[in-house]
Amino acid sequence: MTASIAGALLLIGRKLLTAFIQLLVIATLIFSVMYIMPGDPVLLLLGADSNPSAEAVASMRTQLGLDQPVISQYFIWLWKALHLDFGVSLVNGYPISRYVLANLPRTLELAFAAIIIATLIGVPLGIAAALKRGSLRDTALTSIATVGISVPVYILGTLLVLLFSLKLGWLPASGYTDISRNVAEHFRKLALPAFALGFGLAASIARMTRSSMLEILGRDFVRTLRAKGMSERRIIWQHVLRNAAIPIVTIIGLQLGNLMGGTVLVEAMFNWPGLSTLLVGAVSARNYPLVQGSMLAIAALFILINLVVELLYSLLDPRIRRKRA
Amino acid sequence: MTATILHIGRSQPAFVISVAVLAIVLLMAIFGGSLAPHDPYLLDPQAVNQGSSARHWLGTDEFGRDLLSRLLIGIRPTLVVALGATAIAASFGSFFGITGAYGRPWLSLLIMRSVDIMLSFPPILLALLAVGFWQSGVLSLTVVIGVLYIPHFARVAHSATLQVARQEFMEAEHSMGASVQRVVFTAIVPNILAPLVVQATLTVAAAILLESGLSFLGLGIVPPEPSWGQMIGTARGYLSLNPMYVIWPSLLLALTVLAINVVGDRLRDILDPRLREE
Repeated sequence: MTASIAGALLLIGRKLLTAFIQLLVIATLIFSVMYIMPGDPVLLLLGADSNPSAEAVASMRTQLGLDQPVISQYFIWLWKALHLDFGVSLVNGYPISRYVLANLPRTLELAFAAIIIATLIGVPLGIAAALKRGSLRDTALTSIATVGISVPVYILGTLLVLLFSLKLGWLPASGYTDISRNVAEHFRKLALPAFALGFGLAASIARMTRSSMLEILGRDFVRTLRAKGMSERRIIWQHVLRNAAIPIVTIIGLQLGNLMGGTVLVEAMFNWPGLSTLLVGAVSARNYPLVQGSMLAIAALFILINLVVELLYSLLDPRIRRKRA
Repeated sequence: MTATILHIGRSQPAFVISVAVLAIVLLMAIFGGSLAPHDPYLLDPQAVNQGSSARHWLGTDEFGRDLLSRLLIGIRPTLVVALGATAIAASFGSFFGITGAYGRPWLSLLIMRSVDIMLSFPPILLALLAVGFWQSGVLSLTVVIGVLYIPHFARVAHSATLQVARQEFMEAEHSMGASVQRVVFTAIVPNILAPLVVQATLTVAAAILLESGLSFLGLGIVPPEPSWGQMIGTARGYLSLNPMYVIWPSLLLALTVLAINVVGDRLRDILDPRLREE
């Protein structure tokens, strides 16, 4: 018993260490890109064409801390980032952490809505396809899933807008309403981006559910249960589905990364004011401190989600725990 | 020969159609400019956002430029970026993967840990970081996307090399005193080519999606040079005015990616039967 607790602690410790190293690497990458960049960042920020005065250049240099040696700049930046201080926006002098903290929950909300939609669509469709293997229904569902994986999220999103807001007028095309102001409007505006983001995931979940169900259905114990005369319904719901669940949960976890990548495009196209909108806007405006801050926030969120998913697996599946510990 | 082709056509219609789609796309990328009925860059303020007509078969964009002509030349930058990036990723990735499997322990630890870390981030985020600080364009997009997919190839090459290394003929090579170069080029590379080819098709599709995604956001191919992703991004502003403007490039892009995926699946079945189960 103590051995297994020690093993679990060791596993958690190792995962935490990996996550920390990942975060450090991405932070270093984010920091160093600004210095690998050809040309003087200050001139680029001030606009080299506008011939900024020497004083303006010098004061901007001091403001960004660029008059210090690179190594100390790096550690100062890292130290501040650890305290959620990412500096101020070059556009309006607002603290970047305030932007990040305001937009973070909206990205999380969108991602979770997409996962819920994807699971609600993907799992039943996968089961339906697996139960009638080789039928027309199976072929149709499998083909739709293949198409669903191939269609880029921004094409799907655009088509959804075309159909549901412009043609039918059911849902707003883009934007965001705070939930405290109007609950119904909030969810109406969440619907299209969440569906656009979730559709591709639904397709992979459906595919994984189908193949996982088929694999379990072919096992010996299912034949034994059938021979015992257990009803098909009970076999499916009590035995097959439970055994098929782990790979399904795994694929949902693994796809979280793609989902975070997808939010970049979906948030931008639906004007959903999350972290990615912040990032894309900052990239377009060459607002470097904001690029760094929002990028680091997205990366940290991503690493955190992966960490939680991996720890959850080892809780769910004792085999993984034993193998790794 | 004819009988074989007929057989494949009848038993795998999706595969045959996909190959045909890819052939057409490739022809468009090569000859698109000379097939264009109009100058793709010619502005016509009199014919802005038109639907299809006898003069402009697929209509015009927000500057009155001919959509068909722009679609015909719009695949070339995307394809150049995707193929170039895949070439970069495949060569460097295989090199790192083989070194990771064959090099000194500290070196392989360093390589494979870096691969793990890079693989743990969505490529579009790292791409945004790069295009956020460098200027975009075909060359920089190719390099950036190529670098981003190096780890994918490194991992495939690494595990394939480890599998090959366990086999008996490798022991024979070593005991006969074969040099490292000889072992790598005559024994390893030919034996790990199949999974690398499969990875390459996946990467071409992913690179097309990444390039068009960035162009869609306005951070990829620089206007007035068109690319399908960028056209979709621009057309979004004219959805109610000219819905077909967004439909055409979307359709072509989705078809292309779908075709690559179908061909890739089939290639995987043929070249690497071990992966078939996944």
